[in-house]
Amino acid sequence: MYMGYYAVGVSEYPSLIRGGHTAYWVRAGTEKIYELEDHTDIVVAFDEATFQRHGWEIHEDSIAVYDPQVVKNVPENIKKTPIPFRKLLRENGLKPITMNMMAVGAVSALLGLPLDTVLKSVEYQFRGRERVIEENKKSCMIGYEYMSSQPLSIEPPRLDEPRPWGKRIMITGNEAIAVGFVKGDLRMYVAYPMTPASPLLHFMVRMIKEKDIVTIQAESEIAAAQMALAACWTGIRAATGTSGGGFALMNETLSEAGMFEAPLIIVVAMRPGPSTGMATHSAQEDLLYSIFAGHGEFPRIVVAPADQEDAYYRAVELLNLAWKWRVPGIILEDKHLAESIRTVPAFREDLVLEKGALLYKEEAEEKIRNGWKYLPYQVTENGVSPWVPTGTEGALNKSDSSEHDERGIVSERPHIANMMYKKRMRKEKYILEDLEKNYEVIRTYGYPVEEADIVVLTWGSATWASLEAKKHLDKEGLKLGIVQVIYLWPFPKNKFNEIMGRASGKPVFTVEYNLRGQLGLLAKMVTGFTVTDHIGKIDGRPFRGKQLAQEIISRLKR
Amino acid sequence: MSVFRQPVSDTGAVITWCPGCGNFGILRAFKKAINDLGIPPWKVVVVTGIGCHGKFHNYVNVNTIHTIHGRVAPMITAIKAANKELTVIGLAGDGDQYAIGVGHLPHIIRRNPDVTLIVHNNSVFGLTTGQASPTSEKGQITRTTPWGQWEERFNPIAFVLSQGASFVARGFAGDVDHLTWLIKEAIKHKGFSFIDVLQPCVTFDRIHTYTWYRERIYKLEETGHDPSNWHAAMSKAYEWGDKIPIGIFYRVEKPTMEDLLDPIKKNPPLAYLHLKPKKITDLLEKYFSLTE
Repeated sequence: MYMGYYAVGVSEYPSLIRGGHTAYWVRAGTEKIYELEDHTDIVVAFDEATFQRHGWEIHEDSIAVYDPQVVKNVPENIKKTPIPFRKLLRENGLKPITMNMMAVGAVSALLGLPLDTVLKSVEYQFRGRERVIEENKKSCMIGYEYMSSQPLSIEPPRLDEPRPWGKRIMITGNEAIAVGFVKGDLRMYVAYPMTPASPLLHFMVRMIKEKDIVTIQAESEIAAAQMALAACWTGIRAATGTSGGGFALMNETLSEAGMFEAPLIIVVAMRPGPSTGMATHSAQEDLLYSIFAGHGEFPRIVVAPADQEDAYYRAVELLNLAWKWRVPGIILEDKHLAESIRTVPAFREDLVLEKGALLYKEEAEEKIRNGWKYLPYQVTENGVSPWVPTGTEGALNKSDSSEHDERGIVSERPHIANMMYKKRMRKEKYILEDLEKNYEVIRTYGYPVEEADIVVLTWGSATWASLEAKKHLDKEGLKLGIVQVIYLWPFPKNKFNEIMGRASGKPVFTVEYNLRGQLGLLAKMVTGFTVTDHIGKIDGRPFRGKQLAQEIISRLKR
Repeated sequence: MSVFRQPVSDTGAVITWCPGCGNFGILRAFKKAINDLGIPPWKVVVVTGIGCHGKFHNYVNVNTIHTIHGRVAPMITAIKAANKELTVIGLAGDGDQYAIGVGHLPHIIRRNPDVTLIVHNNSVFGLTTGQASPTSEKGQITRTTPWGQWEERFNPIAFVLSQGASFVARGFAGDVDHLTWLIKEAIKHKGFSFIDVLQPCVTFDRIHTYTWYRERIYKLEETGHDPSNWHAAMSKAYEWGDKIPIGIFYRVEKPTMEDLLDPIKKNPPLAYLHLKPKKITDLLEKYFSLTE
């Protein structure tokens, strides 16, 4: 990344704190990388389980880096570059925890990366902790020197010359959303810990001191959602974040936000279900759930960022949209996007914030002095009522979870119920118009749909494997077109029909990390469009590019 | 059959509580307390839960939220955080606060926001037609305990005291002047204030009538009780039955949420700040290896 390579980093870990088998993949290159591949070039093994579980990733030129005292069973078909991690640590008086940096040094030497750049990364990783930096740098150097001094019987892979590609950063989806919240002037974040949304809370907590954002760890997801909603009601931007189970606890509040017409933002970081499912793995099983969660009918906006870069811009955008339309909004990400790291262009500063129908205190007080009668739920053409911060002189904010009139006072009279229900619901039509006209609701990659042999309909992180699969299908002479839906609700039906209309007669596969093919179901429900088949994966691990390409080919033959 | 004319509230909404309902006394005390303290209506926020007490939202000309069942405590905490200038008061029912919402009670105490929580404790679920509540008497016959309540009675005062709440009091809906005084003291107290209000339910509770309470109630301030003595407060909390104390059990000054959270402490009320995009390049440098 410092040198100018594109890189992705993906972790896989079990739901436990100490021990167990943990794996981390890094893929780097001079071209944009979307997803991991089937094969792994260099395997660093700290335990025997590495080869047992990931043996399938080894190819004829793979290289194993391992301590022969620790890992005894190394597969026949891998090239071996042993390194005595334990002995080197002992001899140099280093803590065992620095072993991974020794491995980083060893792998860097194999790849021929310049030592000073590698050490710079180590320094950055442990920034602010001088003693830790020194120890880890030392360990890294020892690994680097050991590997450089060994006569190698093999030709290690070399990365092409890097081509620096401008201002760039390395970030996860959760962090990108958090930075988006900072940019978007979020003033309160309240959450309850739940994997894989917890890192978002960890980052936001730091923002208490750094960016003046009130961040509170609530006693439950119910409390978190209620606190964020109440904060929104006073006129500030507030959000909460969770995963499926916590989102279930928030459903009653989501419905209340629908009734209050409050721009409450909820981040849903998906993991496999049902129930506790696989807590530390990835899934896309809650698409339909996010769209339909909450009792009663009310408009909402659901967005699924395309990748880590997109997550930043969509977070700011959703804050704006929710405020513009006074509706709750959901950012839908999966663990793969939430926790995977990626090199992306540095985020832009020059974004505009929209306060929508909110009047600032002084504006509102001026208007009130001039005779304006404030009604928090005033019926308007597009359904959006002007509103004011709570505490504005001469104005009362009254919000009722019961059906209410324009003042926010309870009413069960039929003509009031009709008027207010329809006022809320007609926003949906206007939101759809706004989204389709002014925002990137659907993104296409690869061959244009009309030229493609096969079309993949996908969303979120499932798009990445599809992009890698395209590279493989190109070699087979198959033209792949990829259609990624970004704004999932209100479903961009006109744009969808316009694009998918060109796919007539072609095989269209949904690629999603669920079994039902939820995007296909949604598209069918709204537009009547029927996909050819669904390619799903529900074991918590994302597709690799080649794997998906092979699956697409096998479906073609059916 | 007598005809009961439902009164009209300050907002124009018709008051739909039963005639003689304890809520009328609490409404009178609340309005008198706010007026006595001279707080303008737009500076007052009331959050109510679900139940008969929840209708309060419709009857007072102040900012209000009528939230879902049991969630008054997190809402008033967040409102105070977003706008520290407001006088924030939560009104909850006994079912609301002591059954479905009891999980929030220790946490609002731990955070100690400068807000007041008043629990309309009528010992039954009124609006759902008279089921047992956590404060129903052992042996009390209700719709869900036809053979008498078999569960132990929840002790709100002891519970709240045990967690170190900074202002703990009990009032009686049948003594409006005393309750008005309590509400004013609670609002003036810097930190989380809790008032459990004994409120007869004239329709569904045959035990806790106005008379039953009047025969048992006495005022702590008339007995020389020292509200700074936590142990004395705790022993008073366990008095129930023949003698029932009302008044201020315990009062102590502690740092509030607004003192402890920097973004609240060092800024004007957050709700009054204009929307402004914040710089993020410093974060990209510090956390995300920004490289040219």
